[in-house]
Amino acid sequence: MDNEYYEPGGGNIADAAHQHDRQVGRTRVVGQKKRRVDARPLVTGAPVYAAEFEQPNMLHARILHSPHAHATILHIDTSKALALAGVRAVLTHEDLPRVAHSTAGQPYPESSPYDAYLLDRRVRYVGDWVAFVAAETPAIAEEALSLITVEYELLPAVFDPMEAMRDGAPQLHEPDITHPNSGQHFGDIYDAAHNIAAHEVITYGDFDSAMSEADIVVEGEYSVPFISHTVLEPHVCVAYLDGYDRLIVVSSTQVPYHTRRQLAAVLQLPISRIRVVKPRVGGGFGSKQEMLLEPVAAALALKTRQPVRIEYSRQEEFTAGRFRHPVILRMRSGVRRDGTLLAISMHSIGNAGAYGTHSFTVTRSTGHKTLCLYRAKAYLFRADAVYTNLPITGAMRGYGAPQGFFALESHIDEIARRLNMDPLEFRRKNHVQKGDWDPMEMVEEEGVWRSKRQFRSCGLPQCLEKGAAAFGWGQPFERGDGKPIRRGHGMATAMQGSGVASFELGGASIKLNEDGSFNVMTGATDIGQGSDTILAQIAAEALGVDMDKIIMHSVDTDSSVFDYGSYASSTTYISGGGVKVAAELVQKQVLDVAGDLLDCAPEDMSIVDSVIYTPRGPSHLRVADIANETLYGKHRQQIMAKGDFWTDDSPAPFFAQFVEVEVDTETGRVRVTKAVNALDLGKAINPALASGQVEGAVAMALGYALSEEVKFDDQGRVRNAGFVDYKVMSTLDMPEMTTILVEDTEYTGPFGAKSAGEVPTNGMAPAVANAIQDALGVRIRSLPITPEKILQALDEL
Amino acid sequence: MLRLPPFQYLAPKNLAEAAHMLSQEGERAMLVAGGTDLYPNMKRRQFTPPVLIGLRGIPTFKNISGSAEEGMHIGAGVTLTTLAEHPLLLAHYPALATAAGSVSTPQLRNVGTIGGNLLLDTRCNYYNQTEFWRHSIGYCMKKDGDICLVAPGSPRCWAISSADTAPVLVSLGASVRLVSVRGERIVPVQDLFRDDGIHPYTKATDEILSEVILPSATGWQSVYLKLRRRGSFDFPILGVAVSLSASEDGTVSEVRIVLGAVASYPVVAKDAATLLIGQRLTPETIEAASTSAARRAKPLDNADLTMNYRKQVATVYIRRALSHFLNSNYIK
Ligand SMILES: Cc1cc2nc3c(=O)[nH]c(=O)nc-3n(C[C@H](O)[C@H](O)[C@H](O)COP(=O)(O)OP(=O)(O)OC[C@H]3O[C@@H](n4cnc5c(N)ncnc54)[C@H](O)[C@@H]3O)c2cc1C
Ligand code: SF4
Repeated sequence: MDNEYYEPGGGNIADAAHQHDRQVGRTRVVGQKKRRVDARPLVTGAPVYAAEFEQPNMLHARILHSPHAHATILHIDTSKALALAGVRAVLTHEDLPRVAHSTAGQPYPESSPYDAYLLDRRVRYVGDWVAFVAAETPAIAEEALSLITVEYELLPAVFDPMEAMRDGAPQLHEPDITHPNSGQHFGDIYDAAHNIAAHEVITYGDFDSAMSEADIVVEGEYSVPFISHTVLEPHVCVAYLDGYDRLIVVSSTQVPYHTRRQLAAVLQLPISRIRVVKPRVGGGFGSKQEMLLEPVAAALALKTRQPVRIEYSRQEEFTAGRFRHPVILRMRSGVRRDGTLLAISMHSIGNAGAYGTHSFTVTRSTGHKTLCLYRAKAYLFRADAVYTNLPITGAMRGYGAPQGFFALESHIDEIARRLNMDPLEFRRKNHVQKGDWDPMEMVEEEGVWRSKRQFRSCGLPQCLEKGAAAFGWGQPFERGDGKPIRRGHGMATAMQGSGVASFELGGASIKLNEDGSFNVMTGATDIGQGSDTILAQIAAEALGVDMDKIIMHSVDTDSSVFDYGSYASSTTYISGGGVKVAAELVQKQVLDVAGDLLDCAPEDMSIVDSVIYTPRGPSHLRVADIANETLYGKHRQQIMAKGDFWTDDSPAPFFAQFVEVEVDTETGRVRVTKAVNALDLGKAINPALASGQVEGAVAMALGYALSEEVKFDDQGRVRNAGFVDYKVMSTLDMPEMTTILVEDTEYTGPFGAKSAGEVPTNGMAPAVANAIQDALGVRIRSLPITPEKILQALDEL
Repeated sequence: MLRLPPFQYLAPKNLAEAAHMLSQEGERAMLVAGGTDLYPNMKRRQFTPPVLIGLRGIPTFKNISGSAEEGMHIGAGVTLTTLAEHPLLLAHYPALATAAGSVSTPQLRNVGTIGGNLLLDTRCNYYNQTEFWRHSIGYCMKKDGDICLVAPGSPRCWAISSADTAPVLVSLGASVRLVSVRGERIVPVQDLFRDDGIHPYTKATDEILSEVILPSATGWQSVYLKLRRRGSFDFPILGVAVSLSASEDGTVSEVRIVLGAVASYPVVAKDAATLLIGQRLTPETIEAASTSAARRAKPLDNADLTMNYRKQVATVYIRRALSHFLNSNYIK
């Protein structure tokens, strides 16, 4: 039954199942629903967030935003603002160095165009930054903003990517940006004259010839909206100078190290003068994979030599934060009548907004992370990210994949229907299998093209099987008579990565204390997803101690090991991998000393629940005894080690989403009444946190499916900048959910783990569209699926 | 965070003191009950009163008295949660309990009051915006500007009456007691409203709404249906309230169909009611009445979802509201 054409890489699963096998299955801490290490302070409302970080004489900063979508600043008069009592500083583009950079929190050199300036003479969207103010109180800072007068020369603006690509459209950026990585394939703007920030083509096989074998060709155009992350905690940071005259930035960020580097570049300071500290973070979802407010607070702190706090308002989050790229996607695929998929193509045009942060990589991921879900003879993916005078789109949970999967998984459903096949059967026949190589990851080596990514683990068959059983897929159900209710069933599948192949580094250093506890100092960024807990579990397991012996510390760029940050579903796999290495090294150091004391070979010994074991059984020594011996006894030393993890791999988690919808055919209202979410994450280090990730992602994706959309007026101003008008689904709109965790061991991951954070955002929107098709016989190809669209589609039946 | 403008807060201990303070402070002052409508509006600078007079300390405002037979008195400060859960209301004035329970979210209902709900500021998505946005779009006549941005040629404001309880109270034939230093008066709820988005209430600035008076429920049934996007949180984009009394044989003796969120005031669909009086409720009479009533809904593009959509589903919602009585076996 399997699609026999697929053979991009060749070769077998390289990594044999090695010793991990032994460990998985008899873990004591990993795999347990351990309480979060930060649970108590979080639920009792302790002051643990950046906004609660108080400093004496702290100033409050505010930003003056552009009211125009595109304009040149002719003149700024700040004299009245500066004269206001309590105002300490006002900064405009005249006061700051003009350093081209990207705000994308990516490793150096960023794979995003260097098209941004901290403040510029030109503003490119309504909300763009014009001036910064620091004052003694927030109220004074706000009053000062109203006292700044700006004379603008208005420029023509463009909001639609199609128009922006035409000859003669208003051009947002100059091509000749100088930056450190110029000459890089993606460092520059791809085509500034046509506002194309980034461009990508990925091909595999001979598309035309594969299509010529097809019995049926299916095409469709899909569109997905401009949406907001709606993080509970807005962007916020505090900057101050310490006793060494260094710049300390306490920030709600996903990327402390990237931010430190970018901050140094933008403010023209040595990296050594900057320390970034990440306290508890109230959600990021990609919006904080950015340097955003840090340079504002830092520039004002340097100017005033006083601590400065800045926090975005909800309004600013909705107008001058970061957003998910809206995309138009064209799909065209060929299949045989027997249901064999031969060729898939996707052409996507994304709206980058005014600056190209993450544009290349997000746009690329729309195809790169999605099309490999299916076997085919040939693939064709083409993508453009286009500048417009709208707010900035960037990284958001799923990173381009939710856009791609809405199109792909709707399209697959359409194909299956054309073939009169059960969409689940069609997927079973064509989906990627364990051992397959990724056709989107082809590299040329000595004249030969080969894939560099193999799917060593793939629990998709189990996800489909268990998910379908739990849901009752294919079973008869109450369909409704259309007076007014009709019900339908729909499904979708998805995958993602675990980190970005070759673009990651993470881990921890671990140090033993005299009571047998360990400091785990990691650069991994807990942004609320619970990575500190996961990493503590990994450390505890690998050390042979219980969770209460682990003291987490994250993140302080002065004391944590380098880490790329929390994004791309990387933390458990990458940083967790590094933590495990560090823990194993530390355990070895402990056992070396213990072996000496007990006259036993270290490799024959182990630690279980802090007790040192020899082949004869438990010894009288505990880890604390070894600590005392090393700190006060004869074996004097600090037991400590660091572990790193990096890889050119990115194992894929797999996901299957099943939903039931109920449509009111008279009002067009859609309710998702039941959802089954099945995730293959390799290994659930903490099943409670993993299920939380899944359910949160599914809830988030429900808004994408049905209601969320940032709306603009004809001047590019946001029409619904707040939670009353921007429709995030409420608790009452949630379906009854069942979450199934499938563990298909990933031998390269810590204790077999892959990732869980992003992949569950990919399935809901297409599953809902497919279920609506099932219920009504109409196909909605644009998100969000509002009641109006349903009624309109029913009218056209 | 958007910040409140500075203001002075006065906390009267009883109604007389409140009325006195209000007359003293005059136009400078505004009343605040739960503050769930007023404070967000102040943050966006739709109102910047130098003085607020808080009504929460007036004990009588929290009273509920009376019975279904003789009618009920509901203090202006009774919260929406209390109303939604009140056994007498649930049994005899179900539309009011439903409407109160459908306002926003549990947190807001715990704080928001019936008085504040009735006197909710009218809404428009060109108006319920931050100062930054309104400034950049050039303001409209409801606040700080001279034109209407929804209907640019219009000499008036079309902001929408969006309180859930308003159409219900009109359909129930309720009245309110208004108290000032000048004395007090009882006004039918229907007369509290006027067709003006900027000045939607006939209440004088020195008057305080002290209670809502419900007439006897004997012989009456009521229903409220609300159209909104989500199961929670959202203001109505259409509300349909119907009160009905029928005689033994099922002919309708009195009916009031009132539409919320379709104009600057709760719209009474009189013609539709006339079509039903003396008739039995059947799918046909209901359809005729719904079509007629829906003609009174003239939405503009100043709320969630498109105007055409809201117009289209008005008939459906009115039909469903009326059909509710069929399903509930309306002959008692
Ligand atoms: C997110 C959100 C969602 C909402 N959703 C809904 C909804 O779905 N449906 C709905 O109907 N409302 C909704 N509201 C509006 C509001 O919460 C309710 O209408 C609530 O009942 C208002 O009551 P309050 O006591 O808080 O009024 P306040 O804000 O205290 O007052 C509102 C107005 O009434 C005046 N006032 C209050 N009490 C008196 C009195 N006794 N005498 C004279 N004047 C008085 C005040 O001066 C003010 O002008 C929502 C509000 C928010 C913020
Ligand atoms: S209806 Fe017109 S005048 Fe009234 S608030 Fe809306 S835009 Fe302003």
